[in-house]
This record gives sequence, structure tokens and C-alpha cells, in this order.
Amino acid sequence: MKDIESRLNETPAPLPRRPLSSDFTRQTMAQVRKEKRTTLRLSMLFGLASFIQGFKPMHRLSKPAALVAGIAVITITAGTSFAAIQWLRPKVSVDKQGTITLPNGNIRTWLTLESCQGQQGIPTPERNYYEIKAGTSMTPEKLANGLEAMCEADLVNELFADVVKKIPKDSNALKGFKPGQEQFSFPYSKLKEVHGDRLVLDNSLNGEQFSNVSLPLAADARIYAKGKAIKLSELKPGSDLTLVLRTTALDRPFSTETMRPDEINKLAKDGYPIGATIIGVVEHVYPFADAAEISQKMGYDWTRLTQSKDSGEWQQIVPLDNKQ
Amino acid sequence: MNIDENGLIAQILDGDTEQYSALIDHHKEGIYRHCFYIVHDEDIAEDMAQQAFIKAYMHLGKFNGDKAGFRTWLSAIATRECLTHLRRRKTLPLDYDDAIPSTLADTDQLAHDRELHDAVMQLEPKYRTVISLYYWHGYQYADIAKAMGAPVGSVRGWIHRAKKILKEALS
Repeated sequence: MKDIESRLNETPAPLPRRPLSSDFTRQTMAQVRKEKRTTLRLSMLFGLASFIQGFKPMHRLSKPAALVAGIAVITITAGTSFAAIQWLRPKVSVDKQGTITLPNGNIRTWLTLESCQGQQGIPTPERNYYEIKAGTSMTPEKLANGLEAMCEADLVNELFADVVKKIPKDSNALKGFKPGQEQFSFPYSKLKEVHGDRLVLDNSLNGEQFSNVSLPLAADARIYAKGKAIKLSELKPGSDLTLVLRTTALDRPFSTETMRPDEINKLAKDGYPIGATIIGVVEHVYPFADAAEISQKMGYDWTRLTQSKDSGEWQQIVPLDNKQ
Repeated sequence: MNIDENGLIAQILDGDTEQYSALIDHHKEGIYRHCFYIVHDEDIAEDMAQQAFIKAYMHLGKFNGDKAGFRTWLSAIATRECLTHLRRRKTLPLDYDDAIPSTLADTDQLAHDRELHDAVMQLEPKYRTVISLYYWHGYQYADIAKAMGAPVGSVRGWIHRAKKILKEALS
């Protein structure tokens, strides 16, 4: 009898007796979308995306999600938990000389991005090639506009994450938390009304069901509009906000995997997240409608190009489905 | 078809979830076979493969393209899912009864191969996994160690032990 080593080497692997189901991808994507919706719903209430591992902050979870456009400066006065932050607004422009029509009708365009590097996966240098599918309504100018809005949304994310990192350990914002249990997040929301020391918010902008979420304001919450600190009474119903939320961590890591069904049901029913407090509010300059319209119009008829190291050819990062 | 995986992943992390279907299409057959080598049941292999893709999506932000390819990372997730599943099961599937006989292969050879396959499937999960990955999936020790989250030395030991058990079972 052959030794076992030879036998293992010579015996072919057992193969499945049937192929993978033909709708495997479709079924898997359905589960993926469901997972994303659950996480997005929770992140709308908590901004959990900042600490659910594997997800970027809520702003980047879905293209049609509301985008920030136009927050130029946020200045936070000394003596608070926040640092003073200022940044340049991104600018994306079309280089007309670098724009050509390809034989298949697609448009290849060269965009110059300022204050945008590192955002949206865009590497340095500033010049990037993009390709737009033939026969669509997308144009280089619209693409540039949309990318500018996307870059700005990314910068806002990083801004708030940076703010949280710099909160002093003895700050009021951290009182009541055991070390390592405090969590911060930065969801978008539309203000319905100010009700005493609470904000009533509409989180239905992203197609979610929570059109009435009531969150308490911390006593020392900071509120800003157009870069300046304002009073709570000056917040306008109907305005678009980015909130800085402090959330009370549960005894276990907070994720869709560990949340009990009764906790999820409570959130869905009451619309009230467990232990979330608003410690900062930024009122946007541009309404969501404009930003959302930009995002919606961007669609999927474009892709960034990357240059092959071997051949030097430009390749689509995401294949555009051109019918030849 | 070659795809720019890192570029796709960047787009997915930027919010373009639908691009994940391209990654699934590119890797699904390989992951299905990978899972089948471990669980040896087509339906379970398909479930495990799907779970692996979903877990990978949930943790896509943790993927580091500089350290390993997406396939290696995904295979590690799939291996853990399969092993967790096997640990929960009390019995192992051995249902080759309705195997379709080949009109081309020698039936004695088929029986000979099946004897070895059955013996491997009787091994406890970690031994079965290392044998399958090393001999039938072409993994090196380091790849198996990564996939199973174990030291290379342990993997070598498991393969050695598994072969000893198989030798006794088949003698």
C-alpha cells in the first residue's frame, strides 16, 4: 500500500457535485444591502459608523446619502472641549485640454483637485483621469462639481474625528464614562424643532424611517452656524445639521452583531437612541437638497482611471458597461 | 478578467456598495470550493461562502491591501466560518451514496479516492482543514497559518498528526 504522503499527493481533491447557485451573487448582495441598511439606520441615530469596524462615517455609506457642501470654517472658542479648526474648501476643476472623446464614445477627462488629496481614495498627485460613459447626462463639469462635494464631506468627517481626538481627558464631554467607553459620532440630520433642552430631528433624508428622533443637548453643547458660535434659540427649524454625538457605550462592544433584537426594536419604536447626547451642532450653509441632488446626479456612469505599472495603459477602476 | 481590487474596495468604502458584486463574482467559485474542501457539503459550503462574503463586507475597512491580497484575506474569513460551523456540528456529512459514477474514470480508482476522502472527512475539523488546504488547495504552511490564525509550527504539527491518523484509519 502506498504511503499516506503519496496517496494524499496523488488523490485529486473532492470536488463539489454541483456548481454554485446561479443567483449566489444576487442573494449575497441582498444580504449585504440589508446589513448596510441596518448599520445605516443605527448610525443615523448614533453615528455608530465611526466605531462599527469596517465602516467609514455615515457620510460615506451611500452615494445618494446627503452630502455636505459649503461649510467653510468652523471656529470653536477657547475654553471649550473643542479645538479651533479651519480648512480650505476643496476645488475640483476640469482641464479642457485634457478632455477627449474616445472611439467608443466615452469621454476621458483630466481633473485637477485642490485640497482633495487623500479623499475619496484619490491619491496624490492632484491630476487624475476619469472616464465618463457614452450616452449619459454626466459631463466633466458635473463630475467635478460632485467630486468637490464628496471631498468636502470627507473633510468634515475628518474634522470632527480630529475634534474628538483632541478633547481633554478631564473635559465635561467625557464625564460619566469609564475609560475607553466613550464614543463620539457625527451624523447628519434635519432640525424639526427645538423642544426645551432637546432637538427633535428628522432622519428620514436617507430613506430611513426615523422622521422623529428626539435627542438631549448637553448643558455645554456648542452650536455653530457659518463658522460662528450661536445660541440654541438661533437654530432654524428646517436647517440641515451635522451633530457631534456622545453615546453611552453598552457593556459590550456596540455593533449590529451584538445588539439584542429588543434593543433594535426599541430604537425602531421610540426613535430614541440609548444614551446619546448632543455635544455639538453645526448648521450647514447649503441645504441638503442641493447636495443630495449633486450626489444623485453623479450616478454610476463614471469611474476614475488608474495607470498600469506594466503597460502604462489607463484602466477603469470600475468597469463601465459599454455595449460595443 | 483582471480587476483592480484595491480600486474597487476604495469605491466600496466610499459608499458604492453595488461594486461589491464585482468582487463576489470574481471570487465566488474559489471560495465555494475552498469551503467545500473543509465542510464537504455543497449546501453548507455555499452558506459558508456567503457568510464569508458578508463578513468581509462588514469588515472591509480592516482590509490592508499592502499585507495580503483580498483573496487571501477572504479565504481566512471563510476558513474561520467553516471551522466554527464544524465545531457546532455533532456529526459529519458523509453522503456520497448518490455519487454519479463516471463513465470515464476507473471505478476502482474512484472507490480508492473516495476511501481517502471519507477518511479525511472523519478527521476532527482542524486536521481536516489543514490536510484539505495543503494537499488539495495548494496552500503553503504560512498561508494555512494565516487562514487559521495559528502559528506555522502548529500547522506542521497538525498535518503530521493528521497523516498519522489517516494511516491508521486506512491500514
